[in-house]
Amino acid sequence: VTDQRRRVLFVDDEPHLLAALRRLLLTEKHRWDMSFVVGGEAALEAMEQSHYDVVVTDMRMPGMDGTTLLREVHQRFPETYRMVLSGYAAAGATHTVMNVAQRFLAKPCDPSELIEAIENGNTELPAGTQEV
Amino acid sequence: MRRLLRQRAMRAIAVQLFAAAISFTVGYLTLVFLTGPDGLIMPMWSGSGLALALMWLGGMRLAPSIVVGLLLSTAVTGRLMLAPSVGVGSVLEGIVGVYLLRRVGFQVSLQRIRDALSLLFLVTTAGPLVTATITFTSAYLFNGPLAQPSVQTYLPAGMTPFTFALHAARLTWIGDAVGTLLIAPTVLVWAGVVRNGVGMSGKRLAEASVLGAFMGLSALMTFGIIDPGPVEEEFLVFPALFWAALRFGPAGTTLLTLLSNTVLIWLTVHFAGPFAGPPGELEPARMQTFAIISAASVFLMATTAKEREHASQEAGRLRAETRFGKLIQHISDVVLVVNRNHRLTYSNPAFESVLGYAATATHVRDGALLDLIQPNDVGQFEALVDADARRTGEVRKGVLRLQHRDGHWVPLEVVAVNRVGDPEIRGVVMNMRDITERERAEMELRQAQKLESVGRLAAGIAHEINTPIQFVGDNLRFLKNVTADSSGLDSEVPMAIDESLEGVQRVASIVRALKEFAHPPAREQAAADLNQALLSTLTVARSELRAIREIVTDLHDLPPVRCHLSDLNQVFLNLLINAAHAIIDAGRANEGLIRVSSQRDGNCVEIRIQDNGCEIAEDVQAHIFDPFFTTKEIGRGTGQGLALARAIVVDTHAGTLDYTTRVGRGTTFIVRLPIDRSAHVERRLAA
Repeated sequence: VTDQRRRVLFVDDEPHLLAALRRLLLTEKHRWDMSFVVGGEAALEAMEQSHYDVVVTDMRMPGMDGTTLLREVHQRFPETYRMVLSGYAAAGATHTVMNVAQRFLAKPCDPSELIEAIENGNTELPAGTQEV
Repeated sequence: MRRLLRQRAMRAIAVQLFAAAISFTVGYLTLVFLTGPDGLIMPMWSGSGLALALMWLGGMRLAPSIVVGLLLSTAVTGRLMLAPSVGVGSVLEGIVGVYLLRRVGFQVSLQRIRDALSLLFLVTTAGPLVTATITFTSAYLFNGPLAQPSVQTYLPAGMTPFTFALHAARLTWIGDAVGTLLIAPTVLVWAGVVRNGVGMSGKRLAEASVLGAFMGLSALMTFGIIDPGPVEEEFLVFPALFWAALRFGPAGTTLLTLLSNTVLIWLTVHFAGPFAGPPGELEPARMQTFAIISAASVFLMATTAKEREHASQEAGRLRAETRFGKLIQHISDVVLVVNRNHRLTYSNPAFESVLGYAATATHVRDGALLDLIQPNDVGQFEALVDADARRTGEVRKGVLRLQHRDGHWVPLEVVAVNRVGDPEIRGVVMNMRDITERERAEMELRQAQKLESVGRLAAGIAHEINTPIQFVGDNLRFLKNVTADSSGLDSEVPMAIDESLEGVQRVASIVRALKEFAHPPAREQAAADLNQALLSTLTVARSELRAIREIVTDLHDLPPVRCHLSDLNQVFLNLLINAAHAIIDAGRANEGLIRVSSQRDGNCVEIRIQDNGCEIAEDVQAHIFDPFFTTKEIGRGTGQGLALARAIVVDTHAGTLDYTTRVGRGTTFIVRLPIDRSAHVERRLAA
């Protein structure tokens, strides 16, 4: 049986946040195959194991931060749609982020907005076809 | 002590001996070299001038020694018959001269014309009168009533004792005048030169040498060694004398006059030179006239030149003094002199412009400077003015606060220089600079730095808070979904979740407002929504405004305004906090109302922050925008709020900050900001 669900990877340094997202997005389980990892290094490891259509990451994390992670993803997995979900919204940082991310969401984020962003990012730019 | 007395006695004896010796020498030389062949006619008698000069310099106590010296000279040269006039007469003349000169306030340096004139009058008129009288009396008595047949008399044939006495008196008079005129000024002036010393530059020395050579040439012609042709040799001396008078002052002139006339007299007495009469019969009148006229006129010329030189120096000094005086008068720093009793002895006009009243105001002069100094600074003031003469030149620095006439304290940076040992000042010179502006700028800078760091901190905290808000919210929503699906649960659960979600929402909005409020200050002004700014500020100020019963907002649509948003947020915050304080101070918190309104008015936006607290008292109104002015107790206000608000609105946004206040109704502050600023205003703001 081939799984047609979109594969989404959530990255944050806060396990509570990942757990809460997992619970909240249980409703989307029928169409998304979601993974939750702590930190940028773990994210890259997971992406080497298997393909992801969307990656949603925090910005400020110990070890590998969001910008570095997304730059790596852009180089090695260009077909993956890159999103940021961050509480850090300083103007300069946002500018840097927008060079590597395709969508930026500020914490706290309304669930409907988050769901819509993941879904649209996927459909507007089908995996493997987008160019950055 | 005894040794000191002995030293003094030895010195006094030495001075007396010196006076006697010099009197003897001068008398002897005059009697031997400058007296006519008959031993009686002296074209120049030096004794009187010498006596006058010595007693002026050394006091009347020298009189006996001078008498002894002069009498000795008559005895040694065998002219004892001259003893009364030469010995006693000269000294008497000297005593009279010293007395008269003291009466007219004579100055020995002879640099004023009046000194020269008094000396000339005295030596040609009053002084010789004494000697002439003695000569007349003695000549008449010894040749007339008291004549002794055994003693040889000089009574020429055809003369009665009376006419002879008159003749002798006349000769004495003139000879005495010539001698005194030549000797007294020379000795007096040169005594001063020896005492003070005169430095001569190489140039002056060279000029003096040329003058000497010129003088020598004139002398050679006068002696007939060089034949000048058919000229009156006596006039050859004048160029040199004038030269000396104009260039070498009384010292050079007196010396040269004495030398040249002594030579001429010596020649005349020996029947040579330009004034030589027929051999054998000495007629010195022409010579004497020449000596008196030339010496007196050249002497006056020298004094006049010296006086003019002094006058021009004095004028220059006055000009310089006026110039420096004006500098101190117009300098913006306060310059004070405080004496050792802490009293003002000098202050410049800047005192008044800085402190509002003149330093001559009675309460400053009588109450001394101390009364104006803030009590906390008195110790420092005392340290600044604590000075004694031994430490003259010492410099101390500090900052003092002095009270302005209208009551506020003026911060002054003080540099105090100890000039106690300086006889012209006798105090501490204090240079005080008003540093109100500088302190204000420093305070603003500190405030801005504090604000900036608070902003950075707030942004960091906001980020940290956002993550827990996110997952708390997500979890609550999950729970809500779960409980909605299931049945049979307590109906309170969904409500509890909804209220928790609302709380999370509120925390999120506070954090957002904080982030907006602490928007990192940008160098460039950027367009911003001021209604949004007002709402953010209200959220941030919520804890300060908690006591106020009602906060009303009446915000109309505003176009974006170019501004430094974080600065304007600060203005709004300051005005809101002031409004809250005004209501609390009036005791009206229960009925407190703050009304925040905004509207467009032409090319401006107008923001009003209105309270129903206490009014601004009339005497306070003039100062509410002054830095450091505060009516609040320590810890509640720095006195910077309104000053800062005004600086931000007026100086960096070309707006206005006004207020209306009414008793019992409260105060409204009105911020007006231009929407489109002209290029002209932009340039001014940029500057």
